[in-house]
Amino acid sequence: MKFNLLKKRRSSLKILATKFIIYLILLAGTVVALFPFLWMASSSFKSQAEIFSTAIKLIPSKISSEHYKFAFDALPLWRNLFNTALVSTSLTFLSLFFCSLAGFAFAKYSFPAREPLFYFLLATMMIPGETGLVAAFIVMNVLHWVDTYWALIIPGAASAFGIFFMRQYMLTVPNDILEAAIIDGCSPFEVYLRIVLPLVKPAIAALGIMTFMYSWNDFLWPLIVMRSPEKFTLMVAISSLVAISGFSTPWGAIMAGCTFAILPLIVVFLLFQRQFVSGIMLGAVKR
Amino acid sequence: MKPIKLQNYLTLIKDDVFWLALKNTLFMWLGHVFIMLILALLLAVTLNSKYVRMKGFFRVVYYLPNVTATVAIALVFGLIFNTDFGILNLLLQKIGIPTIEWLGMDWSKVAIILLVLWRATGWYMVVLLAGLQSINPELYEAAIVDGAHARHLLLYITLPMLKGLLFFCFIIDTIGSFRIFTEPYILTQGGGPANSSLSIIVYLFQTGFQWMKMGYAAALGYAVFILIFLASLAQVKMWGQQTFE
Repeated sequence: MKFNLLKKRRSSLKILATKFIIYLILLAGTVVALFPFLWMASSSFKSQAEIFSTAIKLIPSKISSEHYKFAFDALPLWRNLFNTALVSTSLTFLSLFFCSLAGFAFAKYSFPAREPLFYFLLATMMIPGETGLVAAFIVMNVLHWVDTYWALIIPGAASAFGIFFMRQYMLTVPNDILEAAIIDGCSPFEVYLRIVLPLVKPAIAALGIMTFMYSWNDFLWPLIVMRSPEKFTLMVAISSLVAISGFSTPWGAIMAGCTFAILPLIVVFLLFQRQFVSGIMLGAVKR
Repeated sequence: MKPIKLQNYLTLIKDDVFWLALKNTLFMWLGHVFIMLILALLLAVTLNSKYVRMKGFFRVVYYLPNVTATVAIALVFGLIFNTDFGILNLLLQKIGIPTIEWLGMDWSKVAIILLVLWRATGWYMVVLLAGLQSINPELYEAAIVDGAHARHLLLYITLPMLKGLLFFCFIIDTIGSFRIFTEPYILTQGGGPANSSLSIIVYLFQTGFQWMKMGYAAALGYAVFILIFLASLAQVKMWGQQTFE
């Protein structure tokens, strides 16, 4: 109550000024954050001449679809989209399955060498993926997986971070529930499937979104292991647009390709934004 | 095949291009990390204010740059940074600043820093916002009753309560910065003019997968690991001790 009294004592003018500054900052941030998206979409519909003009125009004077036609003629973009969607989806499901299974074992079972194995897992999280890049490529080469979907899906099908993340969350599942289920005749796998998984749904959603986004946007690894344009992921495909026409950079077509590549992700983000944000919070604040 | 023992690592130490790549990487890291954390904190504190409506909207907008693919965004920034018809130079001309060659030798690292700032700030803002919301509001109420001003609240409550989280953000960003690849690779087409924006991972990619010197690239990979390890260790030593106790 004292708090409210103090609030009233401050002049309304001061509050107004504070509000003004706050909204000014937030609005400036919004413009900066959104502008590149608008500029990308706008440029993709401009005519070639208008892209190179020095007049600043957000809305094209004439909507032209020539750049989309050029981009789709030059590259199998629908196929590339299919590749990215297939790879990201399979990777996400496999990774969720393996990471939650391993996390369950680490959290709820005692087995020989559990502690050393867990510390080993934590230690591998310290090593950046790029350190093993050459070795990983050589392994793909030996397995004859270069230029196949396997190379994109299998190496990421379980991650140390995912296992760690799931284990931390599964530690919060009370043991009594699991013991009760076992007494009722559940096999260990049934306990995992019917009891544990439903209880850790928020963690599954968060990890799933993180994995999916990472895979959708990944660039270095697909750039290395994919060779034929029809097997490229979307990101590798649009990066190849830069050099496609030889003389000058086809900016319009690049912007068209980028718009096409970014749109699905923005839709997914807007649909699941609550889970995205809670995912960051689970990942960051809990650690 | 004859084992060459430590030859790759000896070459690495004497390799000027490696040291240049390391210098560029450090420049791009130090050039953005402090500005980014301050910006993220400013936005988070602003957004956490009780006067702000539509918090969810702003949070989504600021987070959007982080969701979208770096490849696509780096391509879009290539157009924005274009010297002759890029919108950034056109806007700067309006306020009387002469044309800047953003992707040239002198400015390419700055262009990459701007791209990183634009992309990453929102993520750290959401993290810090979560931290702010977990601070007990009674702390603020008690301080206000005792006559504290807004700047006191920030200095003596908000910052100390967020210390651990800021440290976490700093480490995460440092590790990410040593691994920077897509931004320089796309925005400045490889390493930029005269390798001015060559990062270590871009150099690793070039040696291993364009010039097919895989052994040397593997040595570079270990160099990155050692650098990240040392940097993390130094940071934990420097300010980690108090934070974790």
